[in-house]
Amino acid sequence: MAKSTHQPFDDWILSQRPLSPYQAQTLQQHLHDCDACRELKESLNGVERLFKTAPQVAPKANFTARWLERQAAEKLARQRQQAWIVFGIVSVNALALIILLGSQIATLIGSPTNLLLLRAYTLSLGVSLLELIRTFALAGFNLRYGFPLAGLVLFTGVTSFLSVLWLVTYRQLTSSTRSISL
Amino acid sequence: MNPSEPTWLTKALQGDVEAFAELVETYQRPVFNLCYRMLGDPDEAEDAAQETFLRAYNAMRSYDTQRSFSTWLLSIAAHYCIDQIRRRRMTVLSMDQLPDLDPPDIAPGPEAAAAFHEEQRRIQAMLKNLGPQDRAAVIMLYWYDLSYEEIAESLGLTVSAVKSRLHRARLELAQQWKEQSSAQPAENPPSTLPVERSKHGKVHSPAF
Repeated sequence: MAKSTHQPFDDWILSQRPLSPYQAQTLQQHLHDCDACRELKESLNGVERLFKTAPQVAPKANFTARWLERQAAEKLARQRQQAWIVFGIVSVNALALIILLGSQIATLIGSPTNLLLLRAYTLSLGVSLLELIRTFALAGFNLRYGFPLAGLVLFTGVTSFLSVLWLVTYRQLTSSTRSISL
Repeated sequence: MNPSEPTWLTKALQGDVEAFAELVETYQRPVFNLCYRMLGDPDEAEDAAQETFLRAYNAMRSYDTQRSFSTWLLSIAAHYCIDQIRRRRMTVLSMDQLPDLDPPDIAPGPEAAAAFHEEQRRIQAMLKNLGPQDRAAVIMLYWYDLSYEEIAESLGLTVSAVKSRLHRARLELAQQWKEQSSAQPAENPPSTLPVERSKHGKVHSPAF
């Protein structure tokens, strides 16, 4: 059927809005004279008759029982999926915790080494200072003939005191157990 | 409406699966019918109807009790079927590859059954040539007597869009009816088209 262009009769036939008495009479007149519009109207009547008389098709028996089974299966699948999601989240958290704790433990394991190294360094420094003092003392002993004895004793005492003071201060500053209390 | 339906709805809204099963029992036929008219295959229609009720059950919290439950169900079914039809198209199925039209048996007696099957095939052949949304609008109009407003709400369209789609669909259906009528001998009415059997043993109308 070629597309009809018989306006407004096409619209009146195809739309379902009610027509005024004048429109209905005009349409009837047109259908009497126009084969194309009459065919369109008859075809549409045939379609509507077929569709409106066709019963609703029912599913096979026990549809609800099948739905209940499907709903239960879907619920189980959803629960399993949720369980896997929870397991995944817990696993990721556990992994993150292991990494965090591992790094902390590694730091703790590394600390004694650093402490021993620091103590060894401090000891070597102290030994070096004692050597320095001894050298100065020896130098002063050798220079006893050029300087008065009281001056040498005073110089040695002041130098030793300053060395010890520096050593104690340095140790306090570099001590690993030093903490700031608020 | 079944007098117990408000009670079932109230319980179903609280997640009572047994109450929802009563609603499934009540509405299985209209939902299956819409799916069958949309998809043209009983197995696909069964799957779509089951899925419709599952989606409805899972979405019960979003159901507006001011709205008709049947219209809400039909809306879910129509959207699901439209998606299925579009998915079919995505897999580049030609019209010849679509499932054979084999309506479920409901009519008693061989002659009545044959006439029923023939009528169903004719209906499905005409509906198949409509676009998914036009098809849904036509089905809701003729099988469920929904108003333009209800169809628009169900399909997420404007009322003017529904009118436009129905206008186009009715013209298309009338053209198909005319073509089928003119293809038949004058003594045979259009509703008694001769049928032929495919190699699978299923009956096809020569019109498609």
